[in-house]
Amino acid sequence: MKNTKKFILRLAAVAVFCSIICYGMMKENQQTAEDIELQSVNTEVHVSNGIAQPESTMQNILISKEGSYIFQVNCKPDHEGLITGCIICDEKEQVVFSCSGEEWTSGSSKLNLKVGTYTVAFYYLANENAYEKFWKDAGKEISKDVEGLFQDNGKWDVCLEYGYGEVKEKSLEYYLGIVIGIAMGLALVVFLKWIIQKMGGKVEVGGRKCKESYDERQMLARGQAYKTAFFTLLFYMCSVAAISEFSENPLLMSFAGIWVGVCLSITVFAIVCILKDAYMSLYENTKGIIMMFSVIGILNTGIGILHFDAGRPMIEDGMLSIYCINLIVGIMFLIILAVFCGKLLYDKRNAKEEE
Amino acid sequence: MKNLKMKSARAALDLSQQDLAAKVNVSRQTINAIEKGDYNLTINLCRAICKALGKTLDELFWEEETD
Repeated sequence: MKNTKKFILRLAAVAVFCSIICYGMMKENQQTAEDIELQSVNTEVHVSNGIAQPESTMQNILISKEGSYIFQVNCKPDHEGLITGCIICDEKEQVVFSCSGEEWTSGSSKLNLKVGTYTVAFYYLANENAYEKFWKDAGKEISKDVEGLFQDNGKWDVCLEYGYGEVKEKSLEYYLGIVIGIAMGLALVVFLKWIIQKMGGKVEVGGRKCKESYDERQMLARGQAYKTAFFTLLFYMCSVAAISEFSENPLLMSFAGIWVGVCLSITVFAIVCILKDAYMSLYENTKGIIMMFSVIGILNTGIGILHFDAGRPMIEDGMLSIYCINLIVGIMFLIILAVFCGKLLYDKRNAKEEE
Repeated sequence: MKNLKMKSARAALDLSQQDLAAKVNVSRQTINAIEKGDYNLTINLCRAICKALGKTLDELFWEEETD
């Protein structure tokens, strides 16, 4: 009865974990489009006595297939002082997207569009009245106070970019594949544990409670290790945020970047535990740990190298890509394994003296 | 401060650190740390060790005063 309850609880935990991952992926999928190709138009805008000439630039986008799309529009004037607004309308002149500003890069949310021609209109807003009219036409409240931003006279070279991308909805099979992938991963861990036990190794994968697995000295040492790992993660997160903010280097501001922090803190936790003889529980043996860590470390490093070998980008948009994760995890396990083996050798050398 | 009383009681029974550790359900390193005086154990573990070695708390863990 107790075991059934435990099994149901574990199954529920796995189901919740899988659901969270799937939900996250579906949300992410809803907001991104693949391959937005941008068209660009350069316009020379003259402003004389607060009147812009030309007043607007119109472009058309032909949507030939009904579906979900994301619009992307950018405006880059050669200098400040001119506000440009953008309205995208369908054939019935219904506004589907609008934005304004001096220099901007803007994207719509996911839009369900029918087949037809959509008009992308860029308006050059050289005075407050034009600005107010623009937002009235867009059917929205004025988005910000622009008093003092306009210049009565001047000339601007404005580079306009516009484009769209289809949001490709992933099929049910895709999500099913993700869930089966996670389940296979968990099954691999159970299988690995079984193989190791067959070969005389002892490992625990979420078995007994911590209280039962470690003695009182080990529990104290592990508490200290958790504390050190927690502060390491805190320090890492603050450092990444500071580097990103002050040096504008977003290298670690990605999912893989977060994994670096997680792996770093796990490594610190494991090393502190190993050095204080609190890593291995009372029901494990060194053979089991070495076998488990070797397999996981080598597997992950191998997959990471395969990604690299296949030419997959390790850095995307200046940030670490998800293809790094296997390599990071593999290196982490190999480092922990090296420290574990080193401590084992050190203990063996001192064992006689201790007796 | 080293706990030589415990070490000698263990040796008298011809037990290794590992054997004693298994009897009281702790790791070998914990027994080593207690004997070296690196770890202040709880009263529960003191009692378990005393039972395993057939000694009293006083005999193993009471420090004799020296003038």
